[in-house]
Amino acid sequence: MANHTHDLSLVTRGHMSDADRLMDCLSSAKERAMLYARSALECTNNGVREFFLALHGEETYHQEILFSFLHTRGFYPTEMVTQDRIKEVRQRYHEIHNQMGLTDNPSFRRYQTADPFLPPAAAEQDDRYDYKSDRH
Amino acid sequence: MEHSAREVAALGGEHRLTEAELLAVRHGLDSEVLGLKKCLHYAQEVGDGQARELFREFADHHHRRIDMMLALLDAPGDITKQAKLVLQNAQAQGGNRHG
Repeated sequence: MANHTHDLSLVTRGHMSDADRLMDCLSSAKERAMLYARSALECTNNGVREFFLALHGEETYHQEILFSFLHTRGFYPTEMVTQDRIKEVRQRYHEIHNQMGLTDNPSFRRYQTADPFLPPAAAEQDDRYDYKSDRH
Repeated sequence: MEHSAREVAALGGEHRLTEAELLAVRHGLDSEVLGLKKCLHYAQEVGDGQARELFREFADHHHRRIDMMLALLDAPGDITKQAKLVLQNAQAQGGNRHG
């Protein structure tokens, strides 16, 4: 983004500048991304959950584009952290980790998802069928 | 997370939208409609050409998502199948548009 001819901070007739408009869309994109993430967490149906997660992914992509647009033009400055600050945080959590006495490596065990092992139509055939007991 | 086999059987073999899911769709639609209005309005007002293109592109995205959520509400049967179908159609259309 080297050739920026228009001044995004220009305010006409006392209204919003271009940067204000972009910032407004960025704020909305963040809110919507959080809305879709929360929505996915409240879903009962896995298909609907996937639907909201897809919308969440799209919205975080919008947010990334808008942030980058403003950031590269100097309207969303970010500050780099110093090495001392990183060292301070690392030291604090190393101490906590050591105090917990965690000697074994963490395992890679995972719970299975809530998806039925067989499709619901197959589960319907027998009232006594319990798909959970049929899992590997 | 998923309906139990008994719940599904009680619903006639179909997964239905829950109250929480419907509320989430309503909130999503409210937000997308407002986003669409803003993007169309800002695209007219903005002075920067690249920003204008961005607003127009995002307006199309909001419009598409409104269509997707309405399609979800139009689901005739199993909501899980319909949600996956809506997503597949959206991805296919996106692929055709960019491809």
